[in-house]
Amino acid sequence: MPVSLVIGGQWGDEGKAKIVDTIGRRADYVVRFQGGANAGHTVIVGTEKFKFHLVPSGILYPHITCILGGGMVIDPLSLIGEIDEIAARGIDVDGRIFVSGQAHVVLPHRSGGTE
Amino acid sequence: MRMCDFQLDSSQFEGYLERKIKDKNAMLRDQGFRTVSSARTVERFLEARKRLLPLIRDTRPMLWEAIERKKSILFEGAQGTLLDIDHGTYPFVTSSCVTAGGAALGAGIPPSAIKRVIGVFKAYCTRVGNGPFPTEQKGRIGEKLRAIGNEYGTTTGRPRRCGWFDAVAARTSVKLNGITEIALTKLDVLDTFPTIRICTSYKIGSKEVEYFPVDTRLLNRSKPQYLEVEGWNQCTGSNAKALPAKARSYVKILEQLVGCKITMISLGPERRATLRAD
Repeated sequence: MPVSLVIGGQWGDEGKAKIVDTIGRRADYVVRFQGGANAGHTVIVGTEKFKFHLVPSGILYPHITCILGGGMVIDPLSLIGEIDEIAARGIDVDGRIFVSGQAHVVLPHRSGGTE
Repeated sequence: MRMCDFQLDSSQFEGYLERKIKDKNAMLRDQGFRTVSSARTVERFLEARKRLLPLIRDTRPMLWEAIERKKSILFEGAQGTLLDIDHGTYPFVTSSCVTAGGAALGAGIPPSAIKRVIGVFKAYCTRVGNGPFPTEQKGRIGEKLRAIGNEYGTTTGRPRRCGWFDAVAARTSVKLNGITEIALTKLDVLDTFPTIRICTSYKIGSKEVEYFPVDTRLLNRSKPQYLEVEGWNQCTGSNAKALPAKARSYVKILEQLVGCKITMISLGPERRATLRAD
């Protein structure tokens, strides 16, 4: 597979994650390059429903390295929550997720406040 | 603040974070918003730092090397082209570069590296939140699309606005992103519609328009011109290679109107239901 890009052609919610899941099984890397926790990607495997916000949905295939690239906006606490949730469902995440130092961080002010 | 700031040593990081929070709190106070607890945020972020530190790196050389070694790389876009900060329905847009160029910009790879651009389109249209949506159907048809397509937001649960396929918008997306092939999703949602409409152009005043106008005011005045086709009125099943004749013809019409081939058709949400068209 050449370097490929899956992109939403309309206003979002086109079913990108399902297409990524279908062709992504042949990928070595799945990379996000924009957006943040406001994105919601759903993949259904058998009876299990996986919702992704920050982690690339390629995480479901054990051979794929997932990169949260520059251009993204990351809430570190949400990211940890998402990684833990994926791991809790029996998926090995060790050494498979990398986060770009260029990605922007969302402070709690932007995600609802802490007080 | 960026993820690389987590790579400062822990006392430097703490100081940096405290200054950032102080600045933001001043802004929040100015605007009459609640401020944030500095101590609590610092504590949680120091904890997060321990967990995330091993994951943070300059991911660009990883990608450059992967490209040179001819590895398979798939970039996964979020949101949609019409929400792009520059090319979307401004000001009703997201805050990032959603279009194909954004992959190069964000991930730091050369635009020339991307050889295949798969544009994902629903067989109809939806939109969450405010902003122009020329083919929106507010009545019975919109409700039917929402009910069958389960059109509620993944993140927020908000009901999505629904309408007919907009070939003007799609054509613009194909050109903007250099889409080389289309994946058409949720075609089965149209199974029970006796007639189906496709927007082929807009009329703005007396002018016929084939591409999405840049001025949102013009979009609001756009009158979609529709082609009406008969529905297939039967279950498309789970095999995109054996679609009902009228569903096949619907797909062909979309290809012609949009100017790009549809190489994948997805029926239903399960993983196995994604099939390549013949």
